[in-house]
Amino acid sequence: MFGIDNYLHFSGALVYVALGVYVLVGLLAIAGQILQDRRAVVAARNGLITATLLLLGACAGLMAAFVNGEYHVEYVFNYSERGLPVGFKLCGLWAGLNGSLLFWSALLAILGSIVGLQYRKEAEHPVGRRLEPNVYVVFAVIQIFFLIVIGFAANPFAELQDVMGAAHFAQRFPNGVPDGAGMNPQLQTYWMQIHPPCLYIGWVIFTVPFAFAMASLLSGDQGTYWIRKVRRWTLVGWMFNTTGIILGGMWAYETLGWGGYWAWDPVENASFLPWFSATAFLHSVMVQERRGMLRIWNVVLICVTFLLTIFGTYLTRSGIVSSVHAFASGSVGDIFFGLLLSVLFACIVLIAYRYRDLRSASTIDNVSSREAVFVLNNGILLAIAAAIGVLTLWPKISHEWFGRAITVGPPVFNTVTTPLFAVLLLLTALGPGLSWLRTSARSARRNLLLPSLLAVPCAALVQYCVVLIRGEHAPAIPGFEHFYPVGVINYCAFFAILVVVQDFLRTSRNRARRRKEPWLASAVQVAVTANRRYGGYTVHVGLAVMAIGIMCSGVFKEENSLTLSRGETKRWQGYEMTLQDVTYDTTSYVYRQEKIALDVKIGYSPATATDGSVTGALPADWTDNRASRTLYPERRSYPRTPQRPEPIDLRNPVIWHQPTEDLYVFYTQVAPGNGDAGRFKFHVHRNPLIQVVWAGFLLMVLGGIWAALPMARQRRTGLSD
Amino acid sequence: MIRQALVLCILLSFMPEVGNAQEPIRNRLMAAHSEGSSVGIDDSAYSDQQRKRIYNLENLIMCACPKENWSKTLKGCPDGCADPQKNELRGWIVGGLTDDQVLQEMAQRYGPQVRAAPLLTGTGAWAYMFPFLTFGAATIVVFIVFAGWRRGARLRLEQRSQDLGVVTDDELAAIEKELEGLD
Repeated sequence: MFGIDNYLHFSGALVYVALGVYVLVGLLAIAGQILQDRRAVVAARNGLITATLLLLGACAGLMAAFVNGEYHVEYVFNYSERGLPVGFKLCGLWAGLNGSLLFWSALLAILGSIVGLQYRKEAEHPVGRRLEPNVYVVFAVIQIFFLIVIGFAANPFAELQDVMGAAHFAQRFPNGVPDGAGMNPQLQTYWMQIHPPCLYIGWVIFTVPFAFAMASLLSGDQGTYWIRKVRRWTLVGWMFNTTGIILGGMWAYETLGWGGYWAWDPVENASFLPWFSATAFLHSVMVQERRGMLRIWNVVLICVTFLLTIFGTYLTRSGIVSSVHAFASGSVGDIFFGLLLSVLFACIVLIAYRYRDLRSASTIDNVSSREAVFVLNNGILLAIAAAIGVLTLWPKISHEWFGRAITVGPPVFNTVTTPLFAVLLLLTALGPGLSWLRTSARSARRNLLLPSLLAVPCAALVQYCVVLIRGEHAPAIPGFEHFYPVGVINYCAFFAILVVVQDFLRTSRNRARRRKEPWLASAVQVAVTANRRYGGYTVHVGLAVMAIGIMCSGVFKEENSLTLSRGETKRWQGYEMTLQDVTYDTTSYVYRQEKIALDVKIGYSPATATDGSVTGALPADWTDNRASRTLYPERRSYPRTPQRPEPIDLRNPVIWHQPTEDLYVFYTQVAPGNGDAGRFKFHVHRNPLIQVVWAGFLLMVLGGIWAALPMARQRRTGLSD
Repeated sequence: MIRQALVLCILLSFMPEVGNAQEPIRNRLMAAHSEGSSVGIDDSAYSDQQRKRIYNLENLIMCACPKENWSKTLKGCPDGCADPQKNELRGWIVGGLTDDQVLQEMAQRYGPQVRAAPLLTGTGAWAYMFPFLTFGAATIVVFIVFAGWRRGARLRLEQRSQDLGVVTDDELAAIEKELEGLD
């Protein structure tokens, strides 16, 4: 019968069959282009769909191996175990290097099929017909690379025995493989189910614009067709990338225990780099659509975005930087470096070859124009990306240049990037207020003066609110920190928000007057019909809101380390914490759990005598019905097993989310000293306005979706592209 | 501006790095360190100002746990293996060392890689300057390209208008013939 082992061999073989199909797709597409034979192109298109089914079959096979506990497969052994819930077993597909490459390849195959299916509808478009085979060639070449890596360097279907060597295997597992080594406990959260796929989808989608850009360079069609095709793809990729990055931040915040969400980890930085170039492209593409300018620049940005996704992959898989995210060091990193150089070379050669065709006749006529601000915005975005890239690699660069590795931590990243982010926010405010071609002084005054003035009291008000939230118990913040970076960033952020609000109100009011309709109906109509514009502006507002949240939660946060024994109460900055109980759970055969019940109340209790009577005056903030909550910080100890050579000690923080701030409690250890094992140590944080960060993120994503939606009128007029 | 930045960067990079901690500091430090293990149990024992300094310094010092391989700051390293380093830091703060002295001593003990923010002198200066130099260089390149682009575009525009303005005799004869035909 067709047993599970056969099924695994079959799934492994599907990868090689898909490789063959992609080779065929590439050849057919080239033949279709050279011989001008549509049948070959259509066959290549069908090949893309066939290969997708094959790769989905391979992924399904690997997931089935995880669910069925096929621990004789090396990849399944390394990332799963019997006690793992099925949801996490399925995440095994992207938990390690080999599976993640297969997942990447399957996603790319799906995108290739979607592009192919779109072409079925638009097969008659003359430029589309010329581009189509070239797009398929690019897809096929990238997929061939991935499948060669999967098939010959990082095979997720490889047998454990083959990888370990028969002798070593027999020595370690004389009775077969009873269980897997297990997924890293830190990965066993619901974030694992959503963060990596989001990031992967975002990165893989950036391949589509790259394929179109390369196709336009190969075919010599430098018109606006490909730009219109790729704008929405880039926007969707950008949304997934943004979502993936922020979800990663949320994950770090909820599980890592240091009270923050962004640590400038090399791999976090790598995921951030394509975001900058994609954002730059989404702005500069408008200049090409409106004025026919920046054609070379747009191709460069698309190529840079794709190259940065490969660079990120290389960084994660090469072991050249230390990171919590790094998979492993090995030959795969070198192979990706080879791809990086090859793609870079191909881009340079093709752009140089088409340089004359790409040049445009128009120029920037005036510095006070929207296109000039877009160019500046592009410069700043790439400068931030360059700064982050250089600083991320600085330990490596300094080691090569100066002979010793110089560590670069978060303070350097913050010092270098904060002024650049401030300028970026300022440009975000200026852009929507300026006109294309040239902005008259009157128009600039009309659009920018009021928001620029109103931003001052708004920024001051937010800072006053944070002081109120921190309360009388928190120490004062030095005046300079109120001004820089908080004051400056908050001012620029409010400036950006108010420019957008003013623009929307003015546009909808004008429409209401012109059409003699209620203002609200006009506002809805403006939002729906100009969705691309106001969707984009909503992203600006989201970015600005996020900047305010980052500043306030970062600079005004407070933290302390408290030690408590059972029944003991301690006060800290308006909170009263009592350690109620500690329980030990040993029922799980996977880990031992130490769970602490910490009763937290807002406000201080009145001082009481031993008989319970109140002594002295009541605290100013005391009420009978104080908000309270029992928090359960915990520690899980995963013992050493034959499959897990090192024991793992995992401590999960617990967060009390409140509207204005988070109370973050992390159980660090049983306090040493005095031989008193009954004292427990916690690190507590107050993070004011951190919800504003997440609200800004939500606005950014909603704005992105709004901008990407093809609205009814646009579909009718064919403007949706 | 760029030149000034470059000169500043070069000057900073030639400045000698701060030397070893002086002996009196070391003595005070060792005394503080001997108290260190018992000091760092509960941070409530410290004043607000001391606590602020401790957490600020934890952000400026890399975690020396071998398994972290200099990838996390002390603040971002909740692992128990960082506790001795954290206790040392607290001991030195209580011992009266300034922030600079604490950083110096950390570098002395764990090596220069322990600094999360390298010094603004010597080779460390390049870490701060390099991103801005890259940005400056990129800006110059963009300006040069844009200037060339504008000049080229203007020339092409002039050339095109000249081409449109020049009518050859043959073309003139053809137009006249066509106009006659219309009459």
